[in-house]
Amino acid sequence: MNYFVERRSILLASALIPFLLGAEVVAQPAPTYRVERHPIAGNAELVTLFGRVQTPGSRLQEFDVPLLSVLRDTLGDTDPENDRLRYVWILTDTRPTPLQRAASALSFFYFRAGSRQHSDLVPKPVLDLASPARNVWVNLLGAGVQTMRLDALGAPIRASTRSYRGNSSDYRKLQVFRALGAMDNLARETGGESVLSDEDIQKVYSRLRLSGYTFGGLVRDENLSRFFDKESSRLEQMRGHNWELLRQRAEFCGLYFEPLAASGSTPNQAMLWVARDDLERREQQRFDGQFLRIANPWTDLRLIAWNGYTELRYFDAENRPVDADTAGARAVEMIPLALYSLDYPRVPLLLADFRDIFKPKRRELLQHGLSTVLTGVLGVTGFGNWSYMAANSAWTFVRQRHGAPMDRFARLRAYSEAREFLAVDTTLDPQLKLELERRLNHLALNPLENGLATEAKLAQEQYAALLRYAESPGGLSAKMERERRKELASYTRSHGMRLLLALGRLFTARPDVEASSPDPALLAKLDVHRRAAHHVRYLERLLASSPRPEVIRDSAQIRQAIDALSVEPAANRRAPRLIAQVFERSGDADVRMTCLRALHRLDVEPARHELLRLAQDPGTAPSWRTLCLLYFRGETGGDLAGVPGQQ
Amino acid sequence: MWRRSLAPAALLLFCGPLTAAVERVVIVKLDGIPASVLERELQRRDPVTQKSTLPWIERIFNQGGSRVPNFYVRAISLSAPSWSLLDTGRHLEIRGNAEFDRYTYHVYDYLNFFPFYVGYALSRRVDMPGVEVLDQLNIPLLIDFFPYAERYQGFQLFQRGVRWKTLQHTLQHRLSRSLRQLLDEWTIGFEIGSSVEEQTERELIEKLSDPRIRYLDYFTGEYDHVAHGTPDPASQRMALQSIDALIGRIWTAIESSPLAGRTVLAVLSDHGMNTRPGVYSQGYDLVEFFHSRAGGAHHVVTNRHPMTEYKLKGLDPFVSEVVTPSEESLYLKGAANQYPTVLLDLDGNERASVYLRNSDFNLLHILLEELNRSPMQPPLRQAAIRAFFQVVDRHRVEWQRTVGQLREEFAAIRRSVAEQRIRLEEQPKKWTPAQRNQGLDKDARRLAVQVDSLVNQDRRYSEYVDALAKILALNPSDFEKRRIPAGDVLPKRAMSEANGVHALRNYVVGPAPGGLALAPDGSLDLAKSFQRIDYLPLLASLSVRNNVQTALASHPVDFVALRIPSAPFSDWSDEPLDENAVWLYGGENRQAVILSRQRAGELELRYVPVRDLQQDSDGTFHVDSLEFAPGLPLALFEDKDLDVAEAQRVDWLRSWHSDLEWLRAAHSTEYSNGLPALHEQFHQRIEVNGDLLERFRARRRRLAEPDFVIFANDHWNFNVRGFNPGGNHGSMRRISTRSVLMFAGGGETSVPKGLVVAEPYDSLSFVPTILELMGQDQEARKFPGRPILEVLPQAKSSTAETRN
Repeated sequence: MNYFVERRSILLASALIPFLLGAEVVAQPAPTYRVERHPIAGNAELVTLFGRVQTPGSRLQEFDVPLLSVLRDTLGDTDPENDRLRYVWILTDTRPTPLQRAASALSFFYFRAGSRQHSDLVPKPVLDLASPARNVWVNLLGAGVQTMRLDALGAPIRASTRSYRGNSSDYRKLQVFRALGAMDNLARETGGESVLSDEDIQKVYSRLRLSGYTFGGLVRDENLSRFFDKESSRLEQMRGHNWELLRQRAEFCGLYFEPLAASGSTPNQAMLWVARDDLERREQQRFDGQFLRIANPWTDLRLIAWNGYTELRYFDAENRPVDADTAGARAVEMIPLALYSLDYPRVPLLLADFRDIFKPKRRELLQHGLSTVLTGVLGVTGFGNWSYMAANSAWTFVRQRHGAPMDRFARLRAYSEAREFLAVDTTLDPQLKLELERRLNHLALNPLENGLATEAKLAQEQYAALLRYAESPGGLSAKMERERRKELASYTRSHGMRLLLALGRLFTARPDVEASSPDPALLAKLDVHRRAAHHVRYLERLLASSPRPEVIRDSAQIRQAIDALSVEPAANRRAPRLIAQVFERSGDADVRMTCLRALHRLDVEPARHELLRLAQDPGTAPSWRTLCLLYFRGETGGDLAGVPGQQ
Repeated sequence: MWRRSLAPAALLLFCGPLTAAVERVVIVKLDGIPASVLERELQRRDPVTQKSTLPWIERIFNQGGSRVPNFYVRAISLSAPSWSLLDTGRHLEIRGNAEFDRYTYHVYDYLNFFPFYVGYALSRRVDMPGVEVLDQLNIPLLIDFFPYAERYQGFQLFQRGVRWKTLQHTLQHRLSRSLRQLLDEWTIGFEIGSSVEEQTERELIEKLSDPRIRYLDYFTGEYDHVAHGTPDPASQRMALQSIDALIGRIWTAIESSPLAGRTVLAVLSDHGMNTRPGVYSQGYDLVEFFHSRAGGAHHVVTNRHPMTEYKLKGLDPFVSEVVTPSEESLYLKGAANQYPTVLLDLDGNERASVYLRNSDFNLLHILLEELNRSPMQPPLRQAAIRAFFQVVDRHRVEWQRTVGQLREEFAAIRRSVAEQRIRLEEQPKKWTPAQRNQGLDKDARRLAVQVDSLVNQDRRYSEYVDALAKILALNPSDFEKRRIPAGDVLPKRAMSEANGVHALRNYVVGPAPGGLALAPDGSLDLAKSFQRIDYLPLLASLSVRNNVQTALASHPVDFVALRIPSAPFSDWSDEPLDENAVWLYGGENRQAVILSRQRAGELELRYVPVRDLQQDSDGTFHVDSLEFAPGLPLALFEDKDLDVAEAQRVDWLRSWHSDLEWLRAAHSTEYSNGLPALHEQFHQRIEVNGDLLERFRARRRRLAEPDFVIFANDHWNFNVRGFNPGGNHGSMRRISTRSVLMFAGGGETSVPKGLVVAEPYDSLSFVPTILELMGQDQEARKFPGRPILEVLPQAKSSTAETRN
């Protein structure tokens, strides 16, 4: 699927967004996100996503912050067919300070423990795209040790270890969500030219997203596209749903609704306002707080004497927001009530309450505290106590059904995206933005978290450290070389053999693969295998998506893939079967001939077997069966006359 | 029974000499795909493959088949009405996705599958509710033209029977996957719905290899579901691409099937969808409006829970009747379950059907409540009693007729039930495989269900009739003897007869704040004693404060449509008019009337702009005609796409034209075939030949009609069940009515290759076209619709042309 490229152009053309955000967005000159390619030693490159961030409280001071880097192993050429994405670094993700570590092990410490001031260390990759399953086993092992060993050591150990692990996990998720938000916005913002292909973007996005699921790392590559499509569609539907829910609730309660969006994107945040004039007629108003989760503004005396932030807005006769100089525009003084995230399942999530700065925080504290008491202090866990699990599930289900925000994972995501939105937004009034940032900062419960401004500086420092690491001889290039050897082994040796070798190394205490300088022969071998793997993936997808390959793809492309596969018979064992399947499915004579030639050229037993099978298949037309037989016997003698026409 | 009368036709089709090249038809039914979106995606080149985004549809239909891009719904653009037209080829009888019976509150819940499946498992149902209604009206489906053993039907709205094996195999197939696959799906998300569709597809493809199977269909609602949820073109494209791949697989299977050369593949959608990239469809809550004081403080009944996803009750899959009580009710507080006064069918969303309790029932109810309230001044009490009987007397003849006729019909029902029970007794207790293969077991069960249904109807209508009889039996002295609680005489859970124009414009919603008042002559002052609402201007003037999208107006209502008698307009035609007309109300100066008449057996329609249409309490109508001007309902005059030269436009619009002429002239306008479609929607067709059961069935259809239908403005909707920000349908707008219709045929069929049919057609054309393609010309000619000549063999085209 080419979901990203397709959506970019359409969303940019959207009439909704510019209007919703006012003229400022339309006039916004530079894109908020950009991707930069940086060649590094060892025949690879770092692809980095930068976001343009504003200094808080200012519309003028903007600077680029590196958010995410991906290592692309290019084997030193410019052909994407043999490229492989490897490590992903989230550059805002820093190693905690000792103070932060200590604070994160305290059970009821739900505040920031200062911010790291500098980070010159090479950041740890959050993901190895070549072996995403590794994180699954590490996490499962961690959970196992926690449950089987640490929990049994008494409440203090249990509570502090659980607290530490929980904070670490939340901090990682927070960074991942921020990166996902940036990638999502990048996809919508850029106009089709990208350093990363759609397939690459889908892969990085999906793997990052799946890293938050217990078994997400086990999802196979062929399912990533489907996951990405579902996720993108789900996100769009969620935003639309919450947009409409909040608008209708605002309408019902006599409030004003204002959707907010990053440039070119669908709105993912929204503000609620109340008109000062309406407060004078408050006895005529009604209120339902089920989904809004704020105090009734019509009975709130604080609003009558409100001296906080206000804005003057203008509306036309159809109640559309317009500029002040529009003829017939009606001015309304508005008081902000709340900020909501629209990226939360089923209901908008309250992130900032202008009248009660601690309200969203109280919700988080309550839920965190309860969870800590139950699992950390009392040691009641779901899998250890089935009745608790059942009761908890029932309670959560009922609360969720009534619109309560019970999904911690999704709340983290919403919070993270709101931070990202405020960091890059250029449309909000600076003073309002400061107010929002202040309120959002109160939601920071994780001692490992750094402040927004510090985070930007740390990201720049970490990126510089990463570049240094990439350029150092014993650094990234050496690591990559080791990984390439492992990769080659994965092509040439069976799982069993690799396992045996690994066991052997345990006894000999030798490293897995010796580091060495780039080996041209290794690169050449990898090139062959990666290209073969690329073409196999292409044919597998082709066969999975259409009963007639040439209908959905250009015949020349198909022939090219088949020809390429036939060049290196040892490259992929699945090739003969796939080529034979293409022959069976295709109605294009040229494609079929290419298949027969390719099977003949492969000249390995499986290919000959496929030729014989096709020659004996009653479903194959007689003329083609004859041809198959000729190729099987090797009696083709070059070009064949009388190639059958299309079936 | 029509099924018996159809049997020879089915036999002919199956066993007769095969004069037609087409022996098999495969129909892929797509819910809610607008032709405009399909065309957009067909034209779009995929940046990677450089082929159409929908490569299979491009190949099969654009290059190898025929497309009918001007194919319209001949009614409101909703699934149940639209599929009923497409599946039967007959004029409209099912007018909404849900309908309510005005006497009994019976809910015709056409979209709810759950009660059907459970009912089927318990042997209480055989067919989906829509099929049951059509069966009662002797209207066959296209599938009924094929013997039971020769058809394969997918899961759909107008479904006959359930194949449990499909569901069983779905589960088996799902669970038989490898652990790794299951783990992947668990992480990504299981989709049971798509699993059923996959299984249905597998079965359909398997059946294609059986040459005895002559009719196959497949239904998918995938696009409709996505497009309701988001206007995001990429999300919608994914749904379309999935359908494109499905069509590719089916076509490939057809190509390798034994009847490949003589098979026609037809792909169609029931309606379009008002969806536009970057625009969210905004909802307006009519339940909230009607139960607010300004809307009449009604207790409102809907067929689903409002905001269903936020209620535990919303999990009930069997729900088809939900009462939302009004805290502000003026005279029915605490009586929401006994006396709801508004029924709303909001399914479909770009329109809402509104059933209001008869205003005079409200008036009688209030009078009874007031009379029972003590103490009351004797003159006022006497005046109230007199007013009560004035109202009863005004309806006495009509109610007596209703009671009398219904009792005759009950007697006929009981006779019929007795006869059918004897037939049921004669049915075998066990069925042989051969009998099952012929569907005889299902026929028997169908008979049993019909008997149960008749018994139930007898009981429920009897309750209404008994209550009505009680009112008729009252006399003034009864009020002197005892208190007469409203609950004892006024039928509970009944709307009674539909409201006329006068009632809708003076609708009684409660007692006046000061209570009942005497007129100077000692009678009850009916104007001062009651609070009344003029619903038409009130609805037309609704507006919202949160209007954040430029594409939308702040008024959610476009116009209100209702049936009115045509008699007041008889001067506007030199020939007799049909009994009823359709009144479109968009504001005091935005009104029009659609008149119809039959001339030489042909339907003719006329659009007349009017203003100040009023009805007196005695039934007299007052109306002024208006000159054509921009802003009238359906916006025909100002639409640049109306295919009439501007200089002749007024004259043309003032004249009578056949429905075909209207379709041809207006189909490209914003409201496309709105005029013939509104006529179809409101026209009453059932003619009764004296048979009491038929009369009863015709009555039931009439009782399922609402007082009026509210049509939403562009990108507005009335969904309250949840939210449909992606898009909606139900209106007459072209984007909602223009549907997909495409044909492709094997080498021996007549279906042209690469043809784009320019002529506009509507839903009624589908069934006769299929029948003609299959050589059933005689049967096809019995249908009211024109066959699509362009896809028929050349010889047939010229024959059929004479019928147009």
